[in-house]
Amino acid sequence: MPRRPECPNTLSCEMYDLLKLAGTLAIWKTNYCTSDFERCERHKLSSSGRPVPRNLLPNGVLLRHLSKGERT
Amino acid sequence: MKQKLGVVLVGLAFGVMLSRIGFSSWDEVHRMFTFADPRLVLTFGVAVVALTISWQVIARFSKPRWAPRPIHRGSLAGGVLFGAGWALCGACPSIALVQLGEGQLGALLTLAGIFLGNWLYSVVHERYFRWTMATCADT
Amino acid sequence: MSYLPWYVGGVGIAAVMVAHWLSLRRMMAVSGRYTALVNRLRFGPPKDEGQDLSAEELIRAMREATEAAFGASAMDLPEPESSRPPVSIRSVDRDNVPQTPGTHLLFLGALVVGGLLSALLGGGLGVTSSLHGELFARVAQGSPLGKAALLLGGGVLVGAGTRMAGGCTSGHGLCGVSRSQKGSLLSTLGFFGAGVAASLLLGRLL
Repeated sequence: MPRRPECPNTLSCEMYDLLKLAGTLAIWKTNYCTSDFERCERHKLSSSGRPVPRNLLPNGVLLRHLSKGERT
Repeated sequence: MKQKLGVVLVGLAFGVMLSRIGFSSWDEVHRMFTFADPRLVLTFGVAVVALTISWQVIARFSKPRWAPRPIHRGSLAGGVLFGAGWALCGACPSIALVQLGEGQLGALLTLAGIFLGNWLYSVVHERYFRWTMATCADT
Repeated sequence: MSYLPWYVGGVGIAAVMVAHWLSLRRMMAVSGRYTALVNRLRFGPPKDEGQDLSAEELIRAMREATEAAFGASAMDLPEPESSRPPVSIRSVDRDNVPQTPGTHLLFLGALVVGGLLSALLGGGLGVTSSLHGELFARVAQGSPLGKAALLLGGGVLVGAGTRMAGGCTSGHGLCGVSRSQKGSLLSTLGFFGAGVAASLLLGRLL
């Protein structure tokens, strides 16, 4: 049974750490890191050599102060 | 503030070290690469051994999170470009700055080249390449 | 100037690398600082990128965003087992805030001053419009244009190559190799091999 590739960045991804601390890692990991990681907005930026915002979620939402994030 | 102080002190120490060892001399680097003098390579080797031991000791006392550096598509080609450039100008990104401090003003050209090369590569990679260096950390 | 013996210099370099990690919680990687500065010039200052958010605020915002994206049932699902070292909020606040261009410039500037200090300690500054080094002058055939070509051309290759490889002698050659990182080993072999080849070729011009 072929093993699904995992995003190569997970070991150094800051968002990964924050998601884990927030107790919400599992759902994001399932949807992005261990499946379709090329959809992850962080991965896209990193692959093109661009800086990755600290507060960017895989689905493109930018985290803000105490309120809902907005789409990039 | 503490970070800024640390950065300055480490930078000073590194600059003095590189200079006193001879890495900032084009001639010494050339001798290293043509095997005419093993001193710089031995220095490098000792540093690597000392670091290997140091990281093991540190890892025993804390649980550090160290970013991995896996092989990616730019690893070899990038290294080759860098090495060729180093042989030509006698400097790597730290050394060019040390050379400047020592009064070797030709290093200004080297520095201009380094910034230019970094910029050019950034444009080329964004336009033509898609691979990750396995870090999405912004330095 | 008489140079430091290899066994002293080697330990000195290692000490500096360790001091870098202990004080900044980051591995020393000089080319990365150039990359960060070039990125700042290319892409401008970060806007709304959470620079001012503490880990606690990020976590709160994250929980809201997760619920918005996946619904309440997606919250607090059991985490998969992992061998990854644990992080704490304190370590995130300490380690994950990106360094500013000011910090990078301070480090790069300190390298310059280090060179200056060393020259002064070693008995005087030797200002030259090119480089010290008799071999360098001979390889360039004494021509100012030749020297400029070597410096600028070499610099461009260094800048492009270090960004492409994701590191330079400190990042890959020292920190990466001493941690047995495969990418660093390969890059280091690459730059050493190319350095040797290029130098041997240049040597024919002597």
